Amino acid sequence: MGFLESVALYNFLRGPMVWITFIIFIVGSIYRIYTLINLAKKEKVVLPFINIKAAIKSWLHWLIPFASRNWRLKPYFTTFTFLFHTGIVFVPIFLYAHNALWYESWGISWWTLSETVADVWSIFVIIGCLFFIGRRIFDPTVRFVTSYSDFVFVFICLFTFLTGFLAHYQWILPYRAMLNLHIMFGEIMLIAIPLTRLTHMYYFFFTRAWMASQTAIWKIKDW
Amino acid sequence: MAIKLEISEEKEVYRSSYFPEYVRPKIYDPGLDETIKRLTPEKIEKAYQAVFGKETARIKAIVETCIHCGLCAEACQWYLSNDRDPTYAPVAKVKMTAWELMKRKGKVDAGLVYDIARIVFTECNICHRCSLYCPFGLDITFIIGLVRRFCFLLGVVPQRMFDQNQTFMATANQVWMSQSDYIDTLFWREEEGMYELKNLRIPMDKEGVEVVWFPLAAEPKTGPYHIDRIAKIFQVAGVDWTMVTMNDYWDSSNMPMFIRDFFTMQRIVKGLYENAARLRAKKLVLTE
Amino acid sequence: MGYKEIPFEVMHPGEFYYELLVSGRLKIDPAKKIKEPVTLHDPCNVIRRAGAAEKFRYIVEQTCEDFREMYPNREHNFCCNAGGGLSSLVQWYSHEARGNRVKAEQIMATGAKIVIVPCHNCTTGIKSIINYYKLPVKTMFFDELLVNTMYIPEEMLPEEG
Ligand code: HEM
Ligand code: HEM
Ligand code: SF4
Ligand code: SF4
Repeated sequence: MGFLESVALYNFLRGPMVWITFIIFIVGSIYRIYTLINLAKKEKVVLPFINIKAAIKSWLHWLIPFASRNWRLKPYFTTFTFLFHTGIVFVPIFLYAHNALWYESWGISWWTLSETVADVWSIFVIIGCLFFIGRRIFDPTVRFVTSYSDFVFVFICLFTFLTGFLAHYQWILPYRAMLNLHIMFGEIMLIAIPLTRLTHMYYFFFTRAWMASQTAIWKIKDW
Repeated sequence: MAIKLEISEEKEVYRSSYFPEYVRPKIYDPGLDETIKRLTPEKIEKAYQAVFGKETARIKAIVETCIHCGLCAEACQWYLSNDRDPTYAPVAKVKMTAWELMKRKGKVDAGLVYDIARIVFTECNICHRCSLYCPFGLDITFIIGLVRRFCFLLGVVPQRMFDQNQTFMATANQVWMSQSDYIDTLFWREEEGMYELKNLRIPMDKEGVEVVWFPLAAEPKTGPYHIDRIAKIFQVAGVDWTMVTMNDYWDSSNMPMFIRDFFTMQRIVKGLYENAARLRAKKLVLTE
Repeated sequence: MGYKEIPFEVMHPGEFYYELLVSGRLKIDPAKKIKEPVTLHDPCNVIRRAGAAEKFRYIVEQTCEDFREMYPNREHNFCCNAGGGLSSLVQWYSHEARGNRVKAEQIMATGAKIVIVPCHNCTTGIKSIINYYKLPVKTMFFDELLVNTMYIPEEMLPEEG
């Protein structure tokens, strides 16, 4: 326990590790997007094929809950996945505690979420994670295609939010230990985004654009 | 209305040695069962390298984006019809074929190639429905098509499919029909049709027409009534149309596409288009 | 496939029949319209990959009195299960038919007696379902449909004898 609580670890995670994380996250993301576009350029058919108008329509339909047919067919899943994803994208950005950190180190700040909203939203994300884990264990179809990495992704998200939430309320573990854990998981998550299949955050837009252009040529909708 | 029927023609069961969940009735198809005996690891790896060796944006994007969520499962009629058997889900088909090959870098044995060929040739119709249901719009059929190409390079293709491809290579149609047989059939249909419609004509190789109609090879062979029906409709509507008998390129079915024999496929498409261009047609109507 | 600028339109007969009907070149004889309930199978190739759904519906509505949709339909239809080359694999026919119970259920749910299948390949698929599950329906092509219902001018009919 001693190590987890130590100021040394805290200093490391809040110091060099933050830099490493953000550099990997940003450089890695740019690299991922760049290599994909570059590869697509080499395959001459891909880029000229993309139809931006269709792509935007398709993005909107799949980013709005219940706007596409499959979202409507699976109401529970849709609810959870949208709570989860909106949470995982917006909560860290607009969280008061995170903002305070930005302010401390860079002197910048922006609009923040109120405490209750952040708490409730975090709980939603946690429930969403549990739902995903449950699906992966109990739904035979999903279980068949699940590999260990899928669990790892969900657990990273789960632990990040869980520890952040618990640290805030100073439950279970001492504040400092929980916070250290939280920062660690948060950093792992950010690093994992460009390195693993969590790149779907960016690739979503490319793959959808591809399919949307395809279906635009076929004169049908893909939502 | 629920339909439940108990017929089990195939009593024997085939169990994949790679995926314990993959259990299917045993169906004998020389195109699969015999050809896998000829495979060697080197051959398999070579075919793998030819198809998956070069990294391409589409394969990369598809494989690295799929988050294994299983949302595509309910799009597939195979999955729904087989009581939601997990091994019929589109993503499971990709898992058992492309992922497995990629994971092992093509170093697999013939048993897996059999499974793969069976999955891509007899359990997916390339219908694209799953792509409309995946939240990422992943083109699963693209992967299946690649794997089909991989199997084709190895020669592991269901017998009838391979057979038809050979027929295409030799005769440019699906049914071993020669040009003279074809022309004969058209004359015969013209004559038959005249009993129902006065002066029915089936024009051949007429230039500068509005429409060129390409039949499917099965039509002159097994469903010749289609030809005079079409002729009647066109005649009643007063369409200036023609059929093509030149150069043997008149069958629009293009079976080689299914096993991704790109060369024969291109040849057929080119042949059809060139014929139509030669006749300066405005429209090309491929059959139903 | 590599042919970007082809000097002519490539179309499915259904689309062409649609043009004929809309432009009035082909007329339907109201007396000959099909009375039995019909439903329409949407072939993947022309519906999902060419967006001809509405045109096909127009043809069917013009020629049949009792048209019932399958559900799901249009681009969300289920495949006939003969696509992708399966139509020619005789060894696999019952495997193929077993793999498409949903389509059989879909057809039965409409209560139709005739399934209009505007595609040779799909006809193979639908027929194998019909045979396997013993469905009380039959398939029909657009050409048959039109030949049976179109208005043929007097002077085009052959003389008796
Ligand atoms: C660079 C890494 C990070 C640092 C240094 C950091 C730091 C913090 C701090 C100091 C708190 C406040 C605890 C309190 O209120 O006392 C917190 C809370 C929280 N953080 Fe982070 N965080 C990081 C990354 C992330 C990431 C990547 C996510 C999610 C995607 C995240 C989600 C949360 C959540 C959900 C809370 C708790 C909100 C609540 O219920 O009040 N954090 N974080
Ligand atoms: C704009 C950004 C993002 C988009 C558009 C997006 C989209 C999607 C989509 C469409 C899915 C498929 C299934 C589902 O809806 O759950 C998915 C799943 C998932 N996403 Fe994201 N995502 C984004 C960002 C993120 C981020 C930042 C993370 C976490 C680091 C994340 C983690 C996950 C996880 C763990 C799953 C799997 C859920 C399961 O187990 O089924 N996503 N995402
Ligand atoms: S393309 Fe293949 S896997 Fe996808 S829904 Fe159609 S049959 Fe199923
Ligand atoms: S729906 Fe798409 S992302 Fe989900 S498992 Fe299927 S292919 Fe993968």
